[in-house]
Amino acid sequence: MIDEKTLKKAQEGDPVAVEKVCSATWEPLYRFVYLKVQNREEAEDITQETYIKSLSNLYKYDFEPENFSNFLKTVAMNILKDRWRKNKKQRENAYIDVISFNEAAFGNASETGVNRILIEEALNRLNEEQRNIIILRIIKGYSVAETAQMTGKSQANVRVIQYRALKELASILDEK
Amino acid sequence: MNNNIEKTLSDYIDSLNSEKKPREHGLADNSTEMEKLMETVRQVRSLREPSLPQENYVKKLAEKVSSDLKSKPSDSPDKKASAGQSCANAKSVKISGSENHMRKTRSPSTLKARIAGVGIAAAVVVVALLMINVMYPMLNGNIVHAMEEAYEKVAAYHGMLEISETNAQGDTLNHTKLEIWADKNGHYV
Repeated sequence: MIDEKTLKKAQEGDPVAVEKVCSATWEPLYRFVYLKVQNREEAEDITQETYIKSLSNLYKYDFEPENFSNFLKTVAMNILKDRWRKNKKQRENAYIDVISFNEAAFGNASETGVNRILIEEALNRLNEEQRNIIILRIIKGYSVAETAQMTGKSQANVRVIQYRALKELASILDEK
Repeated sequence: MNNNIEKTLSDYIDSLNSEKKPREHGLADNSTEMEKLMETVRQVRSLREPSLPQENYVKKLAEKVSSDLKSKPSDSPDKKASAGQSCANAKSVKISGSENHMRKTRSPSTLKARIAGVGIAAAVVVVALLMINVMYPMLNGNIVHAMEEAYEKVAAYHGMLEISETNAQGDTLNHTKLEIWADKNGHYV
């Protein structure tokens, strides 16, 4: 548990206090960010930016120290939002949606569980060939070459099936 | 066209698989279709466990955050006050330690700024005096007297004389417009 004194010290850049704060809170924050960006490099980068922004603006907000974790997630969400807005020049787009700036995004496990079920159901609606390619490429993380070898297809064919499968998945997920 | 999307999408999946930030996350020109497909990839990928950072991540993170917080001037009111104070102290030390030098090396732009400052201050004083002068008779309920005095000072009047005619239907017809100068006795040109 982080107390007010530690937060105050961390705000001033005290290394011991900052490490204490980071040690106590980094994992849920990192997982939250990772869920949105799906890569370690960006997740680490945004996690770091979140701590800097949160600690240097701490005094502006009125919250209990025990809610610091939620505060971090809110700041992270805003960073993601800002980055995407900057990139997309304010265009409302699919990415903003997937970032899902709603209460569920704050680590509501049941909601995350529901999303999981929806995605799994959508995967089950693909034909076997498509589902296999998606599982190998995205969930298991194999390269196109490895996937091609495992399925006995050409690399170009793997890319075509992958593309069609994702288009279909997107349309199934839209229905839900 | 589709070949392009298929390739880009495949590269995007490869970037995520190698835990690198895909270049598409920093681009503003992705098509809507591409955005949608990338979103779907991330959704599917969320089924797997996140890749956690290396063991010493927290220590490195804390070091970076700490050094950044130290190097950045915080906006906190407490810090602002103390920063302001330390700034003032630094300034006073500098001035008391090098006053002669500063006088010798005063630049023309500094002089101009000082003159401008004095000018602005003088203007403010003049405006304040004028306002007091204007307000004073009003505050004393002596406005009629003030107007009489002002009228006495008027030697001539200059203005526009407009001659117009309005008929029974209410239409107005302008005949002429004259610029006139008149004296107190009613003589005008």
